[in-house]
Order: sequence, then C-alpha cells, then structure tokens
Amino acid sequence: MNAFGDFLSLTLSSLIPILVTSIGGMFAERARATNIALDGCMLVSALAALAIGALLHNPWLGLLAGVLAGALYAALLAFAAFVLKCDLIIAGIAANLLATGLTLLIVQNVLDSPGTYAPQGTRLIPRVPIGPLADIPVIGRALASQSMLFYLTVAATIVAAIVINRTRFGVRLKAVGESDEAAEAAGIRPVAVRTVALLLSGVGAGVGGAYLSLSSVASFNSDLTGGIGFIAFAAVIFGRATPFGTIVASALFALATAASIQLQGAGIIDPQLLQILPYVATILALFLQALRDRRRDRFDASETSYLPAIIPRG
Amino acid sequence: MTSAEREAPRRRSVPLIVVDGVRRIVPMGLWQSALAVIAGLIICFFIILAVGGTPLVAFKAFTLGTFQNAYSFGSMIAIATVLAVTGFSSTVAFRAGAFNIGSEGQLVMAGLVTAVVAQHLPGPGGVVQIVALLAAAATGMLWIAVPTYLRVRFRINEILTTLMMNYIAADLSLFLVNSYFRDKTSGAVETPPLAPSRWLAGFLAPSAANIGAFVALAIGLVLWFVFTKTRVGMRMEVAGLQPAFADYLGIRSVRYLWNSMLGSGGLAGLAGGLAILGISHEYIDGFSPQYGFLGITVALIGRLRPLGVLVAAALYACLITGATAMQAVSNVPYSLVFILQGILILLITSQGLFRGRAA
Repeated sequence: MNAFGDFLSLTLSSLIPILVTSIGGMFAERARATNIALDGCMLVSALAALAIGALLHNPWLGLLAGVLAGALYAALLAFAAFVLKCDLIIAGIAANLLATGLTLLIVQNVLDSPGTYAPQGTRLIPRVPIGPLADIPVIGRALASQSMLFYLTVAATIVAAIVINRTRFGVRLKAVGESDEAAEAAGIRPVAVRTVALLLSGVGAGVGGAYLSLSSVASFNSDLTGGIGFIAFAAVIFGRATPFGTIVASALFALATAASIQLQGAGIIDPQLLQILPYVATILALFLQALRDRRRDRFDASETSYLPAIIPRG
Repeated sequence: MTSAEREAPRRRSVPLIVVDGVRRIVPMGLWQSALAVIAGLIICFFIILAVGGTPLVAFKAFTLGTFQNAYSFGSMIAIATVLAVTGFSSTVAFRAGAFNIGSEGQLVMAGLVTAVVAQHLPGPGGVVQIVALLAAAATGMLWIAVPTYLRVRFRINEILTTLMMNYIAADLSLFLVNSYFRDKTSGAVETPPLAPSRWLAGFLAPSAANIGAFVALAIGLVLWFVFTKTRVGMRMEVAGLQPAFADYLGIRSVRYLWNSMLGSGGLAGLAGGLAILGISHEYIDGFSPQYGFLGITVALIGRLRPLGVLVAAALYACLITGATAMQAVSNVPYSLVFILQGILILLITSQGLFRGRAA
C-alpha cells in the first residue's frame, strides 16, 4: 500500500506543473488565442522565479516574479499577434525559440553561470505537513509532503472553472472563441479579451515554471521544462479547453510522467527509453480522442463535411 | 433544433486549431526579409551593448567574423549546406499548408542511422556515402510518417505530434547509442569516428566545407523548377492553400499533403546525413545545434522560395560562424543566434510592421 501511496504522491507532484499551466492555456485556447508558447513562458518564469527568489531569499517573491515574467512573456506574444500582426502559431514557435536563447544569455552573462544556474542557499517553496492526516492509508502518504503550490494549483483550478462557466468574463471569452462578429455585435472587443486570456495563460505557465525551479531542486538550465509546456498544451487540446477535460487530460499525462519515473527506478526497462513515455502517451491520447470523434461523426448526419454533388453552372 | 444550434457544440469536437494556408502568413516580398534582418541585427547590437564589455569588437566579429579567414568561410559553407536543406524541408511542408516542427527529430534520427550505416557497410567510399544518405532520407520520412498519418487520417494537429516526436527522437537516439553503437573508448555519448573514406569530399581544408554544398544547390534548383514550372508544383500549392477547392478541381489534396510531408521529412533526414558525413564525421550527442529549428527561420527569411532559402541559409550560417568568432573575442555568448532567430521570425511574419512601405 505504501508503494501505491508513493506512486500517487509522485503523480500529484508531476501533476502540478502540467495542470496549472494547462488551466492557464485553457483560457487562451477558449478565446481562440492559441498559446503554443506555454513552454517558453514556463522557461522564462522558471529562471525569473529562481533568480529573484535567490536574490531576495524569499521563495514567495520568487513565485511572484515568475508569475510576472510569465505574464510579461505572454504579453510579448499578444504584442506580436495583435500589434505586429504575426500569425499566432508562428509567433508562438518564435517565442519558444526566443525563450531558449534569452534564458541562456541571461544565465551566462547576467548571472555568470556556465550552463546550469544553481544559486547557493536558495529557500524552496515550503512543503505542507498534514500532521495526523498522514496516517490515512494511501491518500495520507500521497499528500504527506506536497508542495504548497499543490494546494494553490487546486484552488486556481477551481477558481478557473468557476470563472469560465459562471462569470461574465467567461461568457465573453467563449463568445470571442465562437465568433468574432457575434462578440463584436454584443460590444465585446475580441482583441482585448484575447489579450487578457493570453496574460492568464502566462500567469498559469508562470506558476508552473516557478514550481519547476523552486520546489525540489533550486537549479536552472535551458532544458529544465523538458517539453512540459507542450504536454500541458496537449492537455488543453485533449481536454477540448474545458475545465473538466483539461483536468482529466493533465492527470493522465501526469500519470504517464510518474510511471516513467517510477519504472526508471525499478530497472526493468532501460531508463533512457522510459523517458519517452510521456511524449508517446500524449500522441496516443490525441489519437484515441480522434478515433472516438471519428466513430461519433460517422453516425452524425447533422452536417455534411463533403462538397455538394451538384456543380453549379455559369 | 436548428442546424446552427446543432453545429455549435460539434465544432468544438475537432482539434481547436485550424491550420490552413501558411503561404498567407508570409505574404510580402523578399525586401521585408532584408529589412527584418537589418532590424534584427540592430536589436542584437543593443543586446551586445547591454551585456558585453567591448560591443564594437563583439559586433564586428558577429557580422564579419566569417570573412576573416578561409577556415571560417569554409565552416560557413558547411553550416549553410545543412541549413539550406533543413530550410527546404520546412519550405516543402509550409507550402503544403502544414507545419513540420519536427525537423530536428527527423534530423537526429537520420544522423544516427547515417553514422551506423557508414560505419558498418563495406564497399567503396562513394557508394557507401550515397547509401548512407539515402538511408538518412528514408529515416526522416519514416519519422514524419506517423504524424502525417495522424494528420491526414484523423486530422490530429501535426504541430503537436511532430514536436513530441522531437523529444522521442532525442531520448531514443541517446538510448540506441548508449546501448548498441557507443564508442567504448570515449567518455562522451558518441559512435566511433568514421574512416576518412566515408567523409564527404571536402574543400577549403581544414574547414568542414564539403561537396554537400552542391547537393544543396542542386536540391534548390530542382525545387525551384518543381514549384514554379511544373503542374505538380502548381497543384501542390493549390492543395496547400485551399484543400477543399483543390479536391473540387479534382486534385487529391490528401495525396499532395502526404507527398509534401514525406518530402519534408526526407529532406530533414538528408540534412542530418549531410551533417554527419560532412561535418562531425561521427554521431555525437548534440551534433545538431538545432539545425531543424533554424531551418524554419531560414525558410521564412527566404519567403518559402528555394533560391531565397539558399541566400537565407548562407546569411544565417554567416551569423552562426560569426557568433562563434564573437564568443572567442568577447564575452557575448553564442546563444545570441537563438535570440536573433526568434526576433527574426516575428519581424518577418509581421503583417503590421513595415506596412507603410509595402503599398
């Protein structure tokens, strides 16, 4: 039972960065402002969180810096998309590449570290002891030493679900996502809503990034995210940008990540090979989803996706 | 229930991103690329100014370092060769209305295959080189086949899948080298060095410049011919811009998407093969300084035109060689290249910038 509890604990700690990032990305996706630069946002905010956290000897100020950096980076994306009028996807790809270069430059030239930045004596975000509750079988062990950010993530997820389904802003977000013309007719400015949605996705990725650099080991290199931002983005797509779907998808990918880590310890399969598990799981999940959609669409006669058989003359 | 009401929830059931006609994203002429490169260099100058102690020395090395001696110039040609081919890889996919963000993974896997084939296949050097390069192209095609199948058959967003395949390629190649092909005498993750008979014939020795450059030129000419002078190129373009319209005309857009994606993967693989046989002469972890991603930038600078891509590849290779020189003479690191890459993509695909002069 203990082993299972430990595995659950590992799953939960893998879940935090994926879930909080994908919940942010959900807002952007829902407003049809795809943020494919979630990974870049995470990278930038991980560095900002670590550097500020180490400088001020306070992990919470580090978290704040990470969130601000994430939002700022998303603002850059919004600037590229709405002011420079770049295609959002290409701008997102550019932003990801830029994040790698930018963090490398800052680590080497501003922070004077060769490749990995690991400031001494950084205080980490505290873990929450749950006292006597830790004696509950399985669940107690799973929750026993989770980071404070776990509870923050859970709270943020609940708030996000309420915002998207129960508030005026949520309605506007969905309106912009459905149709620009309809939203404009109702007096909503699509660009403004999309900018806010992108900023929110930056905030989520900011928390996720700060978790990566300030929760277990206080170090940073440019491979820190290992594609978690993209996995989070896949979770948004897989979850169809709904709160429940995104949570389920994140949990699924966290499970794959945890399984990959756990099996590496077991030594049955080569650890190097196991690292591909989360990425394979992502592709597989998208595949299964498409398979299900196809089956449903086959019996759905409401809309034909084929061209009319009659070719108009003249 | 009206049909519109029924349609609304259903629309959400397909992947939310609709990727269409990439050509519209890069609408303007090559002059915007030129302006963007100048603007990007100016931004780089300010970055150097902010971080470097000797900005003028650093900037001079960055922009002109390639031309300081024959060796740097040769290195530039060697890098430009690989960049041109990855640039073509992106161009072919973009023109078909698809994103191949997975060039990097295709290139890495193909690089490993090339190194293994070139090492173990007996026979005269020239034949082995050709077989190894063909194997590289085949590997690239194989690596993109899965995302393409998923895109064509199930409309699964190929951006995500090709990207995930990059991570899979990175881990898988590391695993394969470590378990089967590793040079036991070396501390690094690398295959044994190839015999010189397996190297692509070089010039401007001792630099890495090699006859792969002519292969890249030839591919550029062929692509130019296909894109502009043939029916296949025309149909490919229509299928990429407006798949439904293409189907209406009797062009099977799905087949063109397949062929373009496989072509894109094959070119990325070939680039990996050229990098192994021409530059590193063995498979070593990190042999590619993100050639695959740089190919996207190069394709966009070249406006998805084969001859433009050739020029862009040479230009970007100049900057990479320059960045190496810059790192030697100042404290400004190589990573400036990656920053410039991001900035350039934004400036080049911008439809709001430089608007006044576009008209």
